[in-house]
Amino acid sequence: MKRYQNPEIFEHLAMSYALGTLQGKARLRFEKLQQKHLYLRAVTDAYQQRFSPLVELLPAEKPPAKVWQQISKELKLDQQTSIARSNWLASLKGYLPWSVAAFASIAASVMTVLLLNINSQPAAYMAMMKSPVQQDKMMVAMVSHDAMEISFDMPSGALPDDKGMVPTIWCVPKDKNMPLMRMGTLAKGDDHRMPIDSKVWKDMANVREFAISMEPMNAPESPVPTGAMMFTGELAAW
Amino acid sequence: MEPHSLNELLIRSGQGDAKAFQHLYDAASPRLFAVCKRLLRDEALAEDVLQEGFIKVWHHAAQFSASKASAMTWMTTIVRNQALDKLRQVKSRPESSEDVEYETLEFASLEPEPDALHQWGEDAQRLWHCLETLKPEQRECILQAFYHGQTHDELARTLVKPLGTVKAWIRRGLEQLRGCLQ
Repeated sequence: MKRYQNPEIFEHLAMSYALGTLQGKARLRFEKLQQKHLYLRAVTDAYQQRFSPLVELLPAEKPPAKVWQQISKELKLDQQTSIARSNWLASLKGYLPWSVAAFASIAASVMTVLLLNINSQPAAYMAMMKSPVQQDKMMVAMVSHDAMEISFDMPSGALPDDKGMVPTIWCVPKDKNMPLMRMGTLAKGDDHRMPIDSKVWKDMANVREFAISMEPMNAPESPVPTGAMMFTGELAAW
Repeated sequence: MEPHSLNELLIRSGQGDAKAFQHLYDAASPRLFAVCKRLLRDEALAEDVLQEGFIKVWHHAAQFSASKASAMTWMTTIVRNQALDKLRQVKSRPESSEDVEYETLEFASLEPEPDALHQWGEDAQRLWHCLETLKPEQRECILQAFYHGQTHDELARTLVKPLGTVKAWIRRGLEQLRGCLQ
């Protein structure tokens, strides 16, 4: 098992990063890993969020006026109007999980793509999936138009090793009258990628959330989950 | 300023409202400047980082979601990361000084006023409670690292303790915090 896939290790690294003790090359390496593994990013964001109230203890210090003048000049704020930016981004802000939004702020390249494609279709969908019973268990699902696949990024041990049961992926439609979509199963040891066709890609626009349940391996396929629900997460357009 | 007012200002900034952004800066910059000054221990660098941080806030404000975090939390993460990045760059320069004076943590007295505690959100109160459960030396290391961006080596020098001892304090302190926060 790689070190960063071990929850005991990566959670300590995430806390150290959020605290600031992870510095130098180790900090850079961890940032690169965060860009690759969204679960690392999400856990780190969660700890940054938890530590941030410490700032409230600091006595406030008014910065010199020149700082605002520089910001205003750099952003050309005197030329700004209060016209709302793209409705697309405005609606996204209430929809994306905070930690995913923070990820976007750091992944500048992704942000550039978003801004350049402001009025076009999303390039991907993402769901940060959490366990309903174990708060520290999580994974990230990404539906990519470029790769035409659904991929799952997770720490090792995220899925239970349950003999006779198989992790099964479900899409929950936004329209409650529509049936659940059974997408397929995740096999132990594979790379957790699933090809999709253009119809499934189009369907993603109507999906509210992803879910993973444990289903009996040799039983007839059920149209609804029958086993324990392991992960759920709302899908957000990118 | 009430937290929900900051949220509103950040949301309006995300919609391109420059006036709201200026009010947001006026309200939040003194606290964030204090963060930058303590981490960087250099007034000019702190000003640069505050400027860069607020430019980033403006560019990404449309992604803020008040249902997931407060505006102050969201902005603190952005500005503090910016400051830690700058600190990393400064420390990597050969001419950077190793002999930096660190202030005490008196400002982070572990006896906040009851009114202040009441104003804090549930998460902040929880963090406070968890910090109180740590041993004093663990708590001091964690707070020094958060406020001053000190590495294990620097903490060992500041506290005049062996490096291994300081690493163990921090590791155990974080483990305890992790359990408490969950």
